[in-house]
Amino acid sequence: MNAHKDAKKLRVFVASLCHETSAFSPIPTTRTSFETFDYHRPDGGTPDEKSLGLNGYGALVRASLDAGYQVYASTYSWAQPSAPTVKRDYESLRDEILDDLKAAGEVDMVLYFLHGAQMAEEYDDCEGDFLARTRSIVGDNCFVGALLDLHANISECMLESATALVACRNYPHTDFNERAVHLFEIGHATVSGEVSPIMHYQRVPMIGMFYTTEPLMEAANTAALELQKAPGMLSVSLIHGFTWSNTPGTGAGIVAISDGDRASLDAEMQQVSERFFAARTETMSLRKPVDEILDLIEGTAEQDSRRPFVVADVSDNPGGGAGSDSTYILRAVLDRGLTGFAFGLLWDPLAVGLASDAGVGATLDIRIGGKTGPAAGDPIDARATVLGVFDDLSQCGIGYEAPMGRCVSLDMAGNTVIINTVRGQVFSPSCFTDCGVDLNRQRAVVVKSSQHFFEQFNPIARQVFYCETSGSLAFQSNAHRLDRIVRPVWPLDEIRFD
Amino acid sequence: MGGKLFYASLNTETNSFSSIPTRYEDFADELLRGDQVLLDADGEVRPSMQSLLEFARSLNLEVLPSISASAAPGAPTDDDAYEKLCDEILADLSECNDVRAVLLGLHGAMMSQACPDCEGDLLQRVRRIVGPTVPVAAVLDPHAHLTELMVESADFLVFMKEYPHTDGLERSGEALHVIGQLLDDRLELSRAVVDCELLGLFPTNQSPMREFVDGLFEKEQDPDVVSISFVHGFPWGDSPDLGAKVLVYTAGDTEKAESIASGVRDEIWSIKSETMFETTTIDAAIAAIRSSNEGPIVFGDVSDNPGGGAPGDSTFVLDALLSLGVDGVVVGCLYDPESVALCHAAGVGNEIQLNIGGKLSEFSGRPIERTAVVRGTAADAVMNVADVAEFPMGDTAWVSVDGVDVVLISTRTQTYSPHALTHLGLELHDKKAIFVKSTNHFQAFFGELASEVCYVSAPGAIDFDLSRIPYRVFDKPYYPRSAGG
Repeated sequence: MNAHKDAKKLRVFVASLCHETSAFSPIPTTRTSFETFDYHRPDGGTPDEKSLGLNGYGALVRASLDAGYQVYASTYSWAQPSAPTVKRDYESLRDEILDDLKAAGEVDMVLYFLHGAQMAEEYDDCEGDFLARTRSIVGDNCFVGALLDLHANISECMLESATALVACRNYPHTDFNERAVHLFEIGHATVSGEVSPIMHYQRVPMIGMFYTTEPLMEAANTAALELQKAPGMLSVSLIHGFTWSNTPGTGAGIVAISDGDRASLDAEMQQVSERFFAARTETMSLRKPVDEILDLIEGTAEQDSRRPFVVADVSDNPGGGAGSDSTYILRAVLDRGLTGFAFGLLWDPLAVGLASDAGVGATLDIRIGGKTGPAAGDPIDARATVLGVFDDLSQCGIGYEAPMGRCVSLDMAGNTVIINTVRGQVFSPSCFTDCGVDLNRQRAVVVKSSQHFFEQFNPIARQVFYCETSGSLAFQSNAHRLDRIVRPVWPLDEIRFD
Repeated sequence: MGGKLFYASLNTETNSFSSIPTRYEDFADELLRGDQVLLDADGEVRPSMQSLLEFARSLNLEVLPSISASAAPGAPTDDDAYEKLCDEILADLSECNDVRAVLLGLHGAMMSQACPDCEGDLLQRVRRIVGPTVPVAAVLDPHAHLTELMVESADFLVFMKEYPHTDGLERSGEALHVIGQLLDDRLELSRAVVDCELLGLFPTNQSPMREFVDGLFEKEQDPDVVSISFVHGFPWGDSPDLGAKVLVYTAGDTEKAESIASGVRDEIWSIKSETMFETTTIDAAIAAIRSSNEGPIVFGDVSDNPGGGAPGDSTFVLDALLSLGVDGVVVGCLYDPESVALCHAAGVGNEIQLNIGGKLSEFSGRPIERTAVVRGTAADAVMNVADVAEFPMGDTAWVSVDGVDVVLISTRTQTYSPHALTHLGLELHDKKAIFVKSTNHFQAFFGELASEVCYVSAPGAIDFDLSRIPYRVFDKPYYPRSAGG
C-alpha cells in the first residue's frame, strides 16, 4: 500500500429553498408549485451543468469549486410567490435537503440560498426553522451562511442559527450572484481561520417598498456599502422586509457582520438605518391611481419616435403573491375607449383554453380575469379576437429563465391583452414581442410587476408609471389587514426614528 | 329510373351566448363518411336509414351517402370547420353526375362565426351544383331559424313536430314521399311562411301544445295540404331570423297555404303564455325548500345546462343559497378545474380557500370566495347513467361550504344522474334539495329519489326568462319582450 492520504479537501453543502409568502395571497402553495416552477435536484449531490447556471445557487457552487472545495449540491427549488405552503409539502422539501445534509457527512460549510420571507402552515418563519434544524445537524463549529432576498423578514431564530446572513442589495434583484460570491468569501475566510464573524441586527421601524433605483434609496445603499467596506467589517445588508407576510418579524432592518467585536458598530448601524428610514416615502409616493395616469397619457401628444409609456400594475404583482388577474386598469382603459394599450401577463388558464380552442382569427365573447378572488376586481366580459397562440414561451427573468406556459394574444377594442397559463410577473419586453406585439407601436404597455420589469423596460419606455389599484398588494386598501406586525411601525403609525 | 339519391347530415345547435368554441374536432369525434352513414360497425343498416334505403329501392335509385356530422351545442362554429364540412358534402355532390334528388338532415339553428344561416348557405350551394330541376329536401329540428334563403333554396323543408323530438323518422318519410312525387312530376308545391313574432319553448307532451300539434296533423288530412311545420325557433341563437314561424306547403294553392299559415299563427298566439316549461325563481325555490320536509326536491338549474352550450359554472343558485344561509342542499356538477386541482392538492378533510365557479363566461355570475372543507376527491371520474351511458367528468371534488355540498368537476358535462354526485361518497337521501346543471334529462334519473322535480330559472346562457335575453343581432319586437298582443 503506497497510497497516502491526500490533504483533506474542504467540504461545502449547497441547497436552495425559496418562496416569498403572502399571508393574503389567493393562490395556494404545494410541492407541485415548486416542481412546476423551478426545481432541480442534481444526481447524488454531484454538481451538474444545470446546477452551475442556477441563479444564486450556481454562483455558490462555482465559487466553492473554484476555491477547491468538494461540493455536495442538494435540491434547488423556487415557487412563484403565493400563500403559505401546505405543511406536509414544506416539510418534505425541507427534509429532503436535511436528509442530504445528514447523508453528506461532515461538512465545513453550509451555503443556502433562501428567500427570507417563507411561511408554511404552522410555520411563521420557515427560514428560522430550516436554519435551526441545519445547525443541530452540523453542530456549533460549522459555518452556516444564507443568501437572502432583500424582501426578507429577519427573525431571532435565523440570527441565532446562521453564522452569516447576506441579502442582495438591488431591487430589481440583479446582484444575487455577486452577493453569493460575497457570502462564500466570508465563509471561506471563516473556515480558513482568517476572520471571526459576529452578526448584528437592528430593526428599522418601517414597512413598504424601496426601489434602489430611486435617489434616496440609492444613497442609503451607498451608505451600507461604505460601512461594509470599513476595516474590520465583513458585510452589511439592508433588509427591506416583506410586508404581506404579516408576521411579528415582518419589517425592515439592517444586518451587519463584523470581524470580531466592534465598539463603534451600534452608532454606525444607526447612521445607515437613518439613511434607510429617510427613503421610506420615496417609492410609495411614486404610486398613482389609474385615472391620474390615464389622464397624463391621454393628455400627452403622440410623438414620432414612438416609445410606449410603461405602466406597472404594482398591486397585482404575482411576484408578491397576487393573482395576476386583476382587471382594474384594463377596465379603465376600455371604459375610456382608449386604444393602443398592451397588457400582460394576465393569468387565466381557462380563458387561454377557450381562446386557443377558438383558434387564431376567431372572434369570441370571453370572460377574462377577476377570477382569483375579490381583490382581482370584476371579470371583464368582452368581445375579443384571437391574434395568436404561442406554446411554451419563457422570458429572461432576473438571473433565470421564467416559464410563461401557453400565451394567447387577444385584441380587445383596439388593445392587446396577453393571457397565459403560468402565473408570473413581467420581466422582459419579450413577453409582448414573442406574442407578436410591436412595442414601438403601442401607446402604453401595462405590466404585472412591482419593480423587476424596470431593468428591461426602462430603456424602451417613454416614461414609467407605477399604478396603485385595489389589487391584493395595494397598500392603502389592505393596511388594516396587517394585524400581526410589531408596532409602532411606519406608515401604520407616526414615528420618530433617530 | 336509375341514378342517385344524395344524402348528407350536418347538425349543431348554435348558442350565441355560449363561450364554448365549436371546432372541427367537435364534429370529427363522431363524423361518419360514406357507407358508415348507412351501416353500423357490424355492417348492419342503421335503423334511422332503413326507410331511406327502402324508398330509394322503390324508385330504383341508389343512395349516395356523403357525411353525417354533429357537434354538441356551443358557440358559433369556427369558419374553417364549417367550410371544411360543407366542402366535404359539396365535393361528394359535385363528383356524382347522376344525382336525381337530394335529402339533407339539418338542424336549422347552426351558425358559423361568419355565417348566421349555415343551413340556408348550404342549401343554396347545393342548389347551385344540382341545378333548378333536381328536388332538394331537408328534415330539420324545430329549434331552428327559418330563413328566406333556406325556403328559396330547397323544394321542401319539413320540421319535426314533437318536442322531445321523437318524430324524425316520420318526417323523413314525408320528405321522401314529396321527393317521389316531385320526381314523378305529380306535384307542384306552393308555400307560405308566417312569422309569429313569438319566442318560447313548446314541449309538445303537455297541454295545450299537445292539442295544437294534433290540430296540425288534422289539417294535413286535407288532400291539398302537403305539410305544415311549426318552427319553434331557438331563443338562444341570436339570428336576425329568430322566432317561431309557420311553414305550409300546399299542392299549388298559394292562397290556401297563406290562410292556413295565418290560422296556425293565430292558434299558437292564443296559447303563447301557456306553452313554456313551468319554472320557478331562485327565491321561490328557496322558499319551497324551507317549507318542505319530504326529502329532496330536485331542481334543474336549466339556465346553466352545459348540454345546451352553457358554461356549467354559473354561481347564481349557489350564491343565493349561501347568502340566505340555506343548508342541507347539494349543488352540482359545477365545472371548475382550478378549484378541483386545489382540492386534490389540499386533500380530504382539509379546509381550503376557494373561488368557486363564475369563471367561464359573462353568464357565469361571480366567482364565490369561501372557505370550503374538502370532503371527497376522485381522479378521472366517470358518470354512470343508469348503466346505459357514461360521461367523463375528469378529476372531481366534493366540498362543503357553510352547509351546502358542492360537487366540482373538471370536464364539462351535463348532470344526468345521481351517480355524478354520489361517486364521491355524498349521500343524497337526507338532503332538502339538489340543484343539478341540466334542463330536462336529469328528471329521468333523479325522479326516483326526488320528492318533487322542479325547474329553476336563474340568469344564464340559456336564460328561460326570454324577455331578458341580451340580443345583439335580433332586433324585431317579439312576445314576451314587447307588450304588443
